[in-house]
Order: sequence, then structure tokens, then C-alpha cells
Amino acid sequence: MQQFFYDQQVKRYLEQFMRLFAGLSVRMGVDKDGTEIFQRVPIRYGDTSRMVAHILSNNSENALNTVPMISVHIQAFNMNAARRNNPTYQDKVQVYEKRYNKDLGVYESNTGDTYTVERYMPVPYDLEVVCDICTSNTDQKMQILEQLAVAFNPGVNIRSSGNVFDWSALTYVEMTNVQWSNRSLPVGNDEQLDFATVTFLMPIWINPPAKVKRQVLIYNIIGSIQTATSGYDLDTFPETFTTDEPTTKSYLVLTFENYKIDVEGDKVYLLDQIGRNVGADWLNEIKPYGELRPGVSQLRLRPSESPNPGFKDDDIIGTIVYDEDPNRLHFSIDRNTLPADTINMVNGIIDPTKHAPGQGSLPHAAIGQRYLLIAETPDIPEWSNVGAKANDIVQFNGTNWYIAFNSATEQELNIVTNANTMLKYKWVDGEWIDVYQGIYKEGYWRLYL
Amino acid sequence: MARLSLWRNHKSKDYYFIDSAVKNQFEIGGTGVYVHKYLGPDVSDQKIKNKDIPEITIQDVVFMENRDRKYETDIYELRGVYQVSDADFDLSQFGLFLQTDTIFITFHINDMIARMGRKLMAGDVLELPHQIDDTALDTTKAPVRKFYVVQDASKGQEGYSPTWWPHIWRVKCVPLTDSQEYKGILGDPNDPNSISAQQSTLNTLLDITDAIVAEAESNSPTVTPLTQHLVNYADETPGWSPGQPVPIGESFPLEPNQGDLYIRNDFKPHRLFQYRGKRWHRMYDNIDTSTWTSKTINAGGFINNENVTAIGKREFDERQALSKIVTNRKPKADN
Repeated sequence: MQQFFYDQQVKRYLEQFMRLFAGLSVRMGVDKDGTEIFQRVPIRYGDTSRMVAHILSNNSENALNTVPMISVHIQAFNMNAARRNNPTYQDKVQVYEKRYNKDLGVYESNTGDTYTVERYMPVPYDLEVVCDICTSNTDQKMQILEQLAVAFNPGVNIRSSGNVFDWSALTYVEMTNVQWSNRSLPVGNDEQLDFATVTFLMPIWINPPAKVKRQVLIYNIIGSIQTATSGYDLDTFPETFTTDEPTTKSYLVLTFENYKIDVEGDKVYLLDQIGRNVGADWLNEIKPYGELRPGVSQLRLRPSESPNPGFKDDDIIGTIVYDEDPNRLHFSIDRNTLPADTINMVNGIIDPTKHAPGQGSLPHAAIGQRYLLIAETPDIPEWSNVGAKANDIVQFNGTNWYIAFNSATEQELNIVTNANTMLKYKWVDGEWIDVYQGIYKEGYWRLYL
Repeated sequence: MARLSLWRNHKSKDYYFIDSAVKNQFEIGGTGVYVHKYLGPDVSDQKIKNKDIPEITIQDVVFMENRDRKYETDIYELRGVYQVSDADFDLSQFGLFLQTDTIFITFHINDMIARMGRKLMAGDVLELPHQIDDTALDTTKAPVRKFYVVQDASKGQEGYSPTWWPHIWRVKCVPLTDSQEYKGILGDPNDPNSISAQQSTLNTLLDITDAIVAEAESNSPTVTPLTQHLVNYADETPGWSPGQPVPIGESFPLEPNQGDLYIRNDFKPHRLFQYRGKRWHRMYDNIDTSTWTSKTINAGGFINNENVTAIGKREFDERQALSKIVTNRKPKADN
């Protein structure tokens, strides 16, 4: 016996249909100050129950029915054989959800749960919906119909659902017929309210339920072996994935054939195990693991200063596509994943022996100007005889240049952006290096296909 | 001997004698009827602003209708007689309407003119105080008053006396609706004390409309697939034909079948067509802009436009009717 399922599919189409008309207003003359009065035109489903109708009228025959008003009801619901596709067709979608932080109630940028969604061919129907417009005078009718007349040319598109996996959510509403009035001329001895009837066609699909499964494709294996020195460590490890003995930790990283990569701007080169570019082919190397999906598959770069290869909070993430050169991937970095600056931006990176403020390509000194130096400043008044060394950052305070970042004493990791190129640099081990460009050894980069 | 005849070509003493008796009959046996007297079109925004408009004015000579009506704020009380009948409800797509609630009320002509200055006419609104419903469902609201509007008016056949002069005015009345014509009586629906707010279905239906829109918005807020919670999810091709992609290209297929869909990618944005009869019909443009309205409603950016433009020393709304764009600014003669 068939099990129950119901997803309010026709109802959702109807709701979107009614939404199309919910914003209509009519002009109702002017108030005593001469300001125009506009009234929204209510819309509702026409085939109401008698009980609800009496509730609406306050259980009194004296209630005043409002006019103008729009009422909607379904006139026909016919199967459309011409739109029928393979009735038994099934489709699969792999879904990667962002990790959800329950505590903060937000999605984070890294991947969380993964799913496989299986969809079965929906059944095509044509939904014919009638929209009755009740008005109390001809001018009112003209106002409503003129607004409707330009809204459909001949159709508008609606989505019954915002769910990206609902492959039949999108449809269109096409105006197919307008019956100007329910009245005839001569009117006769009974004056009735005037109804205009507009008919619309909506080709829709009715879906069976989908199957949502745990994703069985394996895209990423991270092996993390830690050495515990006490029973307490072993007990807490399943929950924390850490031990209290950092000095005794060791890591076993399962990597992609121990390949290294070289990231240069938006290009990623595949290197061999010892860091040589031997023209390895990305396509051939990736093939056994799955298919690279343009705009979806990710490259994740793990900075070398990460506490360990398993620490992924600092990952720099971007999407990848194949490049013309088989040894190269095109890398579109997500700048939101780049580390945040720890010190203020610099106006540029300069060689102070070749350029000085107000000379060459440098502008005159101004308050707040900052430069990162690649050489020692010469003892000249333009540099205020500041005596800065290579890798220092100097700043102008309105009178003199002074050293804002002293490379000789600074040990901590620092990030700065070059405002001239918008590239970011980090201060690591006594030198400024690009925050993500460079060679990544095995274990410090990952592909999420 | 003079010829015996009750007929006179003027209203004789016989007429006044009978008229007095008829008036007494209405005074004694009739029910009180409150009259909201129609004063003329309320067109204070038009050329005849602040002038008293008599009842004979026609507001719209094109459509031949008076839709903005002014009513006397004072209420006249008359005595009328009508046949009370059972009410049968007709459940229509617009709510409950009384099927047999057209009533004919008779009034004494001279008394009516003496009290309100003229005979009842089409458009006058009557209130029957004996029909007030003080036991309605919603006890938080005021008792529900019963209003009718006069649709036709003429002399009643029962009102002709042996003198052949008429004494009775018969009006055909139908239940009032909360519509533009009677705003002067029913008041502003936003005023909680107005008759409209107390008795009309308007506010309830607007709440229902808002609830429908809210549910529709929760199902599909922007007409685009919601992917913020997914990792780099690329939008799917619009699902016109699930499982089997719609063919796409720069020119239509030469031998299409009826109902075939085709996307023309030489249109910007891409456009979906369907083959019907002997023509390819435009169905949908793949517009990818920001708001629900601009995606959904044709010409949404033109209709929902509150921008103000400043040109020269003038500031005006950017949205203007085509028929009124850059019209001749010279003043026109008043006549």
C-alpha cells in the first residue's frame, strides 16, 4: 500500500500566484486636505467554506462586504502529456552544506555535512487559475486592469519554493483570457457588482518525495594520529581530538601522492614530490578521485605556520577550474578567507634608496603615509634620517618619518595589506612573504572535489 | 347638479385630507429609517474644488458614474414601511451575499420632502435601526448596523388615492457594500472607530492577504534558489523540463513539434520560447536582478519606482505616465 506523502505543491503554486496580485491598490478619491487616498485590494482564495464565510461576516447579515476585491480559484487541473519526459528518470545531486555553528546560529565558511539527493521524474500538469476582480465602478475596474495588463507580457515567472534542489519550482504564469464583465447590456432592473474574470495558465510539475542520503563519495581523508601518554588523554580524545601533551604529538598526514603545489597569483602548478615542475597533468591525477566541478571544487591552502597540519581554521579557500595548461589550475580565491590585517595598510612597498617622498614616483610626504621598505633608508632629509632597515614600515607624522614597524624586534606573526596592489603579506621568520602565494608541501593543501 | 368627481387638476382638500391620513398611517405603523442624504459628487481635488456640488452633477461623464460621493453629516429620520423577508445567503467567491435582500420601502412623499428637502433618490443610504445586530460573533466590536442604498425610486402603486394624486414614494434598496462610493459614511478603515473598521470585511481580508504573502515569501523569498547555506553551490539551469534540459541556441529548430521549448541565448537575458500553432511564443526572460518584484513583475523597475528627478529648477517623480511626459507647460485657458 502506498504510504502517505503531501508537500502542499499545488497550494504553494497558488500562494505564489496570489502573491502576484497582493500589492495592487486603487485610488479612492481624495481626503479633505486634497491628499489622494489609496486602498489596497485584498485577495483571497475564492472557494471558501461556508463556515469561514460566516466568521468573516461576524455571523451577521449586516456585515459590509468590501469592494474592490480579488478572488482566485482553480478552474482546471489537467495532465499535460506533451510535456511528459522519461517517467522513470532519476537524478542525483551531491550537496555540500556549510558547517553550521549551533552555538552562534550561523553557517561558517567551511564544509559541514554532505548529502546525496535523489530526485524522481515529476508529472506534468497544467493548472488553470481564474482571477475574479470585483469592483464597484468602472474607473476602479480600469485602475486594476491597467496595472494587471502590463504585469503580464504574456507571462511572469514564479517559484513555488526557494529550495535550490526543487527542480520544478520554477514555472510561469501566462494570462490567457480576459472576460471584461459578468454584466450585459442592457443592465435591466437589477444592478449587480461588476466582476472581470482573468484566466491564467500555469504549467506545473507534481513531484514525488526525494531521497536524501548520506553522501557516499569520499573526497577528503585526513588522518590524524596522536600519541597519548596517559589514560586520561585516551578518554578525552574522542571528544576533543587533542591531548594534553603537545610535545608528544606526532602527525601522520595521508596526502595526494606527496605532491607539492606552487601557487602563483591565480594559477596553481602541480609539482612532484621534491618540488620540481615536471608538467604533471592535473586531470590525470585527479581522475581516480572524482570529477573536478568548475566553480564548485575547492582548493584549500593551509598556512605553514598553522599549529599542525590538522588545524584548518586558517585555511585559505578558493574554487578551481582546469586551465588551458594541463599542469595548471585556475584558482579563484575567496578573499574572505584571507587572514585579517594585524597592522594598518601600507601605501606601497618601496626601495627607499631609489625613491624618496616628493621625488620620482612617490608623492610628497603626508600625514599617515606608510611604506614597507625593501632596503635601508639613506640618510637624507626626505626620509628624516630615520635610519630604517629593510622590512621596516615607516610612517610620516606630519613632521618626520618614524619607524612604525621595527623588523629587528618584531617576532609575532603580522599581516599587512599593500594598498597599492591589495596583496596581503605576512611577517614570518624575519621576512615578509605573500599570505598565500608560494609552494605548499604535502599535507598543507587539499582538494575538495 | 354638479357632476360628482373626486378628480381635480390641482391638489384639492380631498387630496390633503387623504394625505394626512396616509401620513398618520406611516407615523403610527412605520419603522424609523435613518437617511444619509446624498449631496453630490465629492470631487474636491478637481476643478470644482470647494464648491457645493448639487445632486444633479455627474462626476464622470465618460463612464457616467458618481463614485466619490458626499453625504450629509446630519441624519434625517423618516418613517417607512417594508415587508421583512427571510434572508438566504449566497456564498460567492467574494463572500456571503444576501440572495433575497433587495427590499422595497415606502415613504410618505410630503413628509419626506418636509423633513429632508427632497425625495429619496438613487445613492441615498438608509439605515434601519430596528435591524441592528447587537449579538454578533465578535463582542469586542460595536453592534452591527444595517445599511441599504437606494437603487431605484418611484411612486408606489399603493400610494394613489381616489383623487388620483400619489402619496407614497417607493424605493428599491440593496445592501450596502464597503466601497469607494460610501467612504463618506463608512469612514477610514484605518480608524478603529469607523463603521468601515467595525463592520467591513476589508481589514480582515487585508490581514488574510498579508498572511498569504508571508507564507509565499517564506517558501520563495526572492524567486532565486536559496544557496547561502551551501558550499559554492552553482545554480541549476531553470527547471523548465526536469531531467531533460531545454535545448538552447541562437536560432530556432527548423521542424519543431507543438509545445516544444527552446531557449535563445542570443537574447540578453536568455529568453525561453514555446512553439504553439505556427509561432514561437515568448515565455520567460532569465532576468537575474535583485528583488522579487523586478524578477517577477513585468516592468517592475518602471512600476515600483519612487526616484525623484531634478531637472533645471524642477523636481519631479521619475515615474510618469507615458501620456504625461514632458507635456506643454504653458497654462491652458479655463474654458
